[in-house]
Amino acid sequence: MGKTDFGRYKNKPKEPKYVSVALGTGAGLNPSLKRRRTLTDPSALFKPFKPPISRPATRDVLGKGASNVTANGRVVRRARLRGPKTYAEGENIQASNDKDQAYFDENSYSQNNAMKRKNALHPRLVLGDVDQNRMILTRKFTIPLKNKDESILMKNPPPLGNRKKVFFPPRPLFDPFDDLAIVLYDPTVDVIPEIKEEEEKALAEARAKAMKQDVTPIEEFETSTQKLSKFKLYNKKSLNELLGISDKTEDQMAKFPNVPVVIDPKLAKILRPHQREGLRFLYRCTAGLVHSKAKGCIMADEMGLGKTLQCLTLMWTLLKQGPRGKKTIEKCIVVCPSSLVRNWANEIDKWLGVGVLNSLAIDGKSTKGSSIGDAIENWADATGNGIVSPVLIISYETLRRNIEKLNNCEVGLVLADEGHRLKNGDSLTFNALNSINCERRIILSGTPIQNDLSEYFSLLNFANPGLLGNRNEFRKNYEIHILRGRDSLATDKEKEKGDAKLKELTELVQKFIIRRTNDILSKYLPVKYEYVIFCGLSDMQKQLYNYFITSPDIKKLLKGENSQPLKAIGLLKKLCNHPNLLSLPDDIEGCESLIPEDYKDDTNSMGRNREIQTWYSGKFQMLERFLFKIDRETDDKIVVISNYTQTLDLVEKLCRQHKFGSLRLDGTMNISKRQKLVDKFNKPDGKEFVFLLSSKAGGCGINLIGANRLILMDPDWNPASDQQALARVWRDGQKKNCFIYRFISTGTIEEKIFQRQSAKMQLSSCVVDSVDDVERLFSSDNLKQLFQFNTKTICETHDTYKCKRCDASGKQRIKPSAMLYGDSTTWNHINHDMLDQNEDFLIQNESQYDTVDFAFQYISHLS
Amino acid sequence: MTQEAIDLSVDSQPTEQAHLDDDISVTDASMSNGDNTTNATSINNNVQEYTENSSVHGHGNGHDEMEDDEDEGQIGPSPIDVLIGNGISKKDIEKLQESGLCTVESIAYTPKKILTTIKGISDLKADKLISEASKIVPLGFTTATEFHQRRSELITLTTGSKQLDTLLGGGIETGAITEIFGEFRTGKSQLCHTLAVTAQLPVEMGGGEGKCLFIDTESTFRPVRIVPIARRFGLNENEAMENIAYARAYNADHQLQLLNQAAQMMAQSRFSLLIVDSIMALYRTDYSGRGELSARQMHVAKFMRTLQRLADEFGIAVVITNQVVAQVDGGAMFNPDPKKPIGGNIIAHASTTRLYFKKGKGANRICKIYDSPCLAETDCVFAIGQGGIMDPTDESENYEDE
Repeated sequence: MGKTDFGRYKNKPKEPKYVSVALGTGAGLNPSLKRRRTLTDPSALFKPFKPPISRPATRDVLGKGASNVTANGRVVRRARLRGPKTYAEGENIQASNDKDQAYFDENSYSQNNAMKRKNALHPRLVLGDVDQNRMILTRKFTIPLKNKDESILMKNPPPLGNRKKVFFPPRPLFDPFDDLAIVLYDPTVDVIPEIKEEEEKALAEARAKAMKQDVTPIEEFETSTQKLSKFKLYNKKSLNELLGISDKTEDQMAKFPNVPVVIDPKLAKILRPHQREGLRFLYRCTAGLVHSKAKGCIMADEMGLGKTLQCLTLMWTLLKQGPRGKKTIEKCIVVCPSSLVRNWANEIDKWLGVGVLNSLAIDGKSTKGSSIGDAIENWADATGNGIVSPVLIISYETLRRNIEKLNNCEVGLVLADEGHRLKNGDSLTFNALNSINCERRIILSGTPIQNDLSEYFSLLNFANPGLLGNRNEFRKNYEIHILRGRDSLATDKEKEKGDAKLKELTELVQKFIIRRTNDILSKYLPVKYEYVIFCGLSDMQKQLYNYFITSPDIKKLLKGENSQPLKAIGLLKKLCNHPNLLSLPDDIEGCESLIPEDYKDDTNSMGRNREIQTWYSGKFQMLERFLFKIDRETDDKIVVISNYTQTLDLVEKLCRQHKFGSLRLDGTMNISKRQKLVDKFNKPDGKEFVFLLSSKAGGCGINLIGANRLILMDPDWNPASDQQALARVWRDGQKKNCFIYRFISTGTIEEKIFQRQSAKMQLSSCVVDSVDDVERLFSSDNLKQLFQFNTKTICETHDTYKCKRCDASGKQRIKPSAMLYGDSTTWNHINHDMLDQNEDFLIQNESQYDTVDFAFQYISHLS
Repeated sequence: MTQEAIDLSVDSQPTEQAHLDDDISVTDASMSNGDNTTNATSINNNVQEYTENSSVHGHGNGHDEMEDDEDEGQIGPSPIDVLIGNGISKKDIEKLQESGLCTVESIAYTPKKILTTIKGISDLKADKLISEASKIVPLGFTTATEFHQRRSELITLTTGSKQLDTLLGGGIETGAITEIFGEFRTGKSQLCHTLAVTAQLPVEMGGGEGKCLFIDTESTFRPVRIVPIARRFGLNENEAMENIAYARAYNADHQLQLLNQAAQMMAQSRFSLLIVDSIMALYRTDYSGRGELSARQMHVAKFMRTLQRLADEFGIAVVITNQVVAQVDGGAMFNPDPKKPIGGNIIAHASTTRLYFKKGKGANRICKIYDSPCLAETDCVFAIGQGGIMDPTDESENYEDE
């Protein structure tokens, strides 16, 4: 047992004592287990406290380089210093990643502590000056808003809890006499005559009913007096009368005149003149100032005019204001394509500010799977102050699936964004939306007429059910006559009748539709150059094309024996883009001899790195040159749109091959990622300058103003879907001049499609835009020529125009006087010789090559 | 009393939230006068002028409205001074005010037995007071239609989370007691902090346009948390903090005593929320064992009753938090989450809505409706963040959690 063990007590004064008893109590025990004696003097516990810093801390020494050796040498655990671990702002314990800093740094520590004082929370200190506190606590309450000038501060707060509501006379939410105020409803000017009639009628009815009710019980009462005489006393008064409750507020309200409805100044500031006009129109329709029963309307402004902002302002106004000083509507549904759901929610936050108007966006992210139904149900059930999010944003598909959840819910306003989805009056979507209990229905669509008049009817019938009669009546009354009149083979009489009917329809409908064209935007937007480029096919394409349309299959088809014309059309369309899109030689029987030896079929081969053979396609040759030029000579960005994801695959490959940064959005991408991708592209310093877009997935609503060039690789049968796609770039916020190129293969089926598009556009412009002198160009016979290949022409479409401004070689002699967007006969016609004189350097460059046969050019306005 | 103090006390009478400056001088004169009759008329004057004032804004004819003064009396709670006269002296009123009865409503809602226990109030005087009060305060029946109408306009205080608001049917109800219970770190106190700010927001933004009263028993109130929350809602943080009346309760009796002071303040200024952060914390230790259980529960009941009276009287929202107890014996084996709120049946019956908070993933928390007269027994997820209670995001879900 160790003498050595006791050695450490050697210096201590009391140690000898301990040793002396060592053989007593602790004998035989391991010294580590022996109870040690307290060595401190008990009086030490009562000494006043002094910080146990071993060295006096001299600040300058510690300041530099000595951070490792701290004042007391104590190492503070790193974790304690790393994160603030408190949400409190102003608590400035800084996080540091520097290893050296992880030690207790007294210098900075003491600075933080300078404010501290002992007993800070002692009750006497906390209460402070009682009188002063009392004054602060009992003084009048004002809302501590940062910007005090809000009109909210003027109002008296309503009582809390179940206390009876105070009556306030109605008054406008915003000052109608402000210089910048936009008054939507002015009680001194606007009258609501129909509503009054309605009300009187309703009142009369109600009175009649009341009379009846009054009469019947008395009669019954009298007949049964003998039996029920004891009820005699009770039957006379209603419970309300008994309790003395009268509808005083309503009576008082009735005494006051209507108040003006004024647009929220913060929105009024940003609205452009045409948007104010549109808003006035929307408000007049929805408030029933136009027609007390038809409160729906169609907002058919062309793309880029700010339909969204106008509708959002209307929504906000209706949700907050009304002529009686109360809100007009409580709830609002926005139906839109699924890719726009998040966009709408963002727009609301963007224009109104975050948290001002809550919206419930059903986009699969915020609400997961099974809870969508619950969320919609909860939304539908909420009433009064229980409505947390007055706006429900939902896609057409989700709404259709969950429509039964909205059955019992009264909705104030339905906005159908990209409302041409409702063109088919028999579709499930239409019926679902139509079953919503809502009288204010607004359709937003840049392209209300896409194919024929019955679609137009569907839209109108949705907005204002029953206004035009039912579908058959409409067809009999208008559609047949108008269409006959528009055919180029029509007799004069038919034309006359068609025009008369058209006028009648226009007059009836014009009250409920507003349409402005992009032209008014020219004040705010840069110039748009739109080109329809007719490009020649490559030799290989030409041979294949010729071979295919002369094949026995097509001949059978034209005789009506083959049942798959769509397949053949699809094949031809793909061939026009690039032969790679087909799996040759399987798709076209017997074409082996036409395939060049070095041609590599991309689709079936495994090799992914093989370069794309652009020289086998006219369009790809041109695209490659365009991309090169843009990459080398400009900082422009470009959007490439196609109907085929296969085409996008090829373009993507092309970009990879030349190391052009590209982004791609198609239907396979989930919705939440789409917005991120778009935001990434629109960032000015983004590396990617090519954006590949599938027109079906992203045609609508997406905002790609980061780019100022756009290529549409192939035309779609529906001109509206092309129009939608084209409008991604030239819209509000665009700063550069825009160039839009639509590639059409000369003489092929694509030209026929383009011609057909023009015919549809003309129908639209004479019905919707009521333009009178649209040339009657296409007769029904043209369509049978779909499967012809015109190799001789430089532009078949131009040939059909029988253009008086151009000579036989296609050279334009007279410049167009005014260009109409929907009518390419009025555009600049450019043949190959004229290419080098064009405004666009990309087009100029094309004059060195012979891909471009012909081009139409549209210029939005002169800058 | 200094001149200023008089001004303020008059200024903050809830009946005249939007008075003209002239009101003050009128009332001021009559107050210093001490004359009973002039005082009564001056209040009438206030109401009239107030009506005129508001009708000017509405382009209406203000003079038509004067007949409806009696209705206007119900805007806010009527101050108890109205009762002066008819054998009730100013001295009596002061005594009543000291014991927390500051409005005519409070007299009408208090049983006679309690009134007579106040020093200086005789049996006869209590009768007098009650009969006078019931002339002013409506105490009869109403129809369900009328009540439904009132409830649909009921102001609710937003919690800051849309999800939670939706679950609660708009937010924390005013005029009722909402109890929140759950383990530690489930967000009870964070919700209290957030509500202390949102109670001050304009009604349009989901607030109650009133001050907040905070009774703290666990010493967990942190004004530093108020700052970012106020900023989030666009409020001036200093003013927002000045609008929160804070008191620390040191024992159960003190806790009850504070409510009397609270009533006095509420009679003078508009309050919209009363928070008691942890109602049972002090009772848990001030009373111990079965022997004192009965006394404890009586005391709790009295406290809850006072809270309910304040909610009825001023229409304020009352939010109380509660601690949990683990059920160690019996069903623990079969019950995966054996937590129960403490306070027994007294608390359970007295609170209108009971919410159970649970810890979720990361910074997320789960709220479950435990008891409610109208809400379905469902739950929802919310998150705690810099700006108080908010909706859950990916970020909050993946928040580092040890």
